[in-house]
Amino acid sequence: MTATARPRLPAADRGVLAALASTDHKVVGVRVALTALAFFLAGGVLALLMRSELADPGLQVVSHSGYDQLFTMHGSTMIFIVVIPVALAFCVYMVPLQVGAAAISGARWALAGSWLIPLGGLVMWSGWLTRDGAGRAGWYAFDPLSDRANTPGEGMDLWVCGVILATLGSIFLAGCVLATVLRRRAPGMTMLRLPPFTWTALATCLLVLFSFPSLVVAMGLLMADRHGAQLLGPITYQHLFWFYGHPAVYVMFFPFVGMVAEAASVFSGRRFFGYRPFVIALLGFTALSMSAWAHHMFTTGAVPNQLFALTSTALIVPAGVEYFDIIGTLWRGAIRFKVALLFVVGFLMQFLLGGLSGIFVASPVLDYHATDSYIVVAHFHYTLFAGSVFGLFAGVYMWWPKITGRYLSERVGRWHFGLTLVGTSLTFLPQFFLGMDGMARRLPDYSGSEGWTGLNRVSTVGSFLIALGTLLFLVAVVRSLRGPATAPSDAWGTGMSLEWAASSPPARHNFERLPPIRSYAPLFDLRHPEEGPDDEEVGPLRHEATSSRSHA
Amino acid sequence: MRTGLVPLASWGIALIAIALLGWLVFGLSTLPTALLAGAGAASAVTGAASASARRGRTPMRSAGGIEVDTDLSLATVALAAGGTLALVGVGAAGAAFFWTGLGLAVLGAGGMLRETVAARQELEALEGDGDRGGRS
Repeated sequence: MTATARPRLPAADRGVLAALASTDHKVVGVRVALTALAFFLAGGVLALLMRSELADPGLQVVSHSGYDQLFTMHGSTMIFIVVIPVALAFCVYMVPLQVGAAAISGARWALAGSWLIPLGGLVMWSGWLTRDGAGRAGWYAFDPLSDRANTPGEGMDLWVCGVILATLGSIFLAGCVLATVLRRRAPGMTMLRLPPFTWTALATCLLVLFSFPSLVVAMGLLMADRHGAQLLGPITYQHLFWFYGHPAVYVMFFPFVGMVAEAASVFSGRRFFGYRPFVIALLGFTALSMSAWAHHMFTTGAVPNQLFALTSTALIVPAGVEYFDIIGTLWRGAIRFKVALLFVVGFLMQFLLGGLSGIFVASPVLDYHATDSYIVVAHFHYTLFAGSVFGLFAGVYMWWPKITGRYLSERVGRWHFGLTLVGTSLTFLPQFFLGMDGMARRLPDYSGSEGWTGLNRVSTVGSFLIALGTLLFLVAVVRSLRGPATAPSDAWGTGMSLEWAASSPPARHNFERLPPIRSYAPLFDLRHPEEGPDDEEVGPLRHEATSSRSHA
Repeated sequence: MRTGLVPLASWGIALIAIALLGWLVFGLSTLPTALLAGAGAASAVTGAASASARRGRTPMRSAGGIEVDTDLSLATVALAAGGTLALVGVGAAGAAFFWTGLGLAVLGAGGMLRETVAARQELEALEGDGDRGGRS
């Protein structure tokens, strides 16, 4: 029996103090997600400014230096403060629930991490207040472009500090999630009964814990370089940076694949298809994704291109397995086209474009043509925005009732989905053609004689449609929060994993009682006892001990 | 599969194998080989450590299934804020930021230590209550 008591320690309430300093993993997760949302809106404004600048040749919405700051801060904000943190926020919130834990491991580390991320973002953004402006050496800050001679000013120093802080915050969060998976699973929850999302969270945490420290080292060395030490060379920096930078792409992908897998299962009313191949493919995917970083360095001539072309191209195999598992889950399911499932379908379509274009640029021959062009911009926006953000919204619409006890409007959500789908396609698809035609990335202006005006205008219109869709999402959020909390525990009636056994929103220590855990879909097992668990590890039911767990 | 050993160790071994492949066959240089193999080794060690640790123990302490944790930790927030100021002081803003941040961080660390001690005392009190109540 487990009991939790804390009389002589500070007691939680629902006031400001709890919002600032609660160690409850749900409060921590929500805080990180809200931070990410705020910076998402800010980073989105930067993107709109860039697209406005490029809408027509010869426009001077911002200066050339200002444009450098815009693309640097847009990329840095979206990667360091938005997408990675929001992926980890969902891991922090959902993983303890999905493994049947009462709390997250190392709760104070998680709390610290949840503060380091917004503080890192604020430090990074405080560069706008300095005389030379914010960081402007790109989100990768290659050496020697980012040294003091080429990028003088405190704004760049603050950018380096902000990156270190946000990255440390992510590492702390990932460590807590991994420890929770490894050490706090409920009785009966073996590794092969972890829900798909928790497996993707585990893979994410491995990537964060074993690749992100290299970025902290790179930034530390860059800071020392900017203060007069001569420790870095261009190739050393690029290895350290991309050893972080490429796995980071999968940190911004795996949790969203997990959300899509869960949403496909919930809204088709079927157990997730191909569970074990999914797990094996995921681990292979994770290993390959750690081993592909130097494809970003093909054109340096300093890496064995064949090796990194091989590991990069091989990624399509586990990716294909995961795709077919998700499609197999939907196949002949009792499909309910809720907004969450619309975003699942959108994810499958959009990420396919991003992923397949990645296979092309994984070929050194083609990469020599595509590097530093808008092909690359289109590729990574198709993966990170048109792909991952669709997965994120699938998770948001599915888990919103669990987190808030309320539903998001389906009607507004459909408009949000439609505008985002059309907006992303209009914004990023033309960029492939612009890149093929030779338009370089980071270009602040272009001549009308290049013939790029039409496609750039389409891209700019698309970006404003995305903004409109985002505004509609905010409308849906506000309307939902003003309504009554009516969602039951299993908000959709077809929940699979343990979070759907907790109240909506969950209590401080998550569960009053747990159902028996006999597979990776224990709630499905409860509803369909005639089917039996899809699990070879069925052991004695130990739910009696679990269900007697009491929480203060 | 009841512990994290298999996924973490197999993942780590896969990284080491790819690093060796790169080094032996493709002439991968020392730094990238070390980065990849080091990450693999760290993962394998983490898996082994997690398998050997008794599942369910909290980082703070646990005994007899009783857990004591702190619901609020302003000290942790102070430590994070102090660390931030100190780093900004080192990297950009100068000594005043650094010393202010360091002071705040020390206060925060002290507060966290106090929380840990309080939790331990609370746990011991609970264990004492349990023993008097005949709980084994």
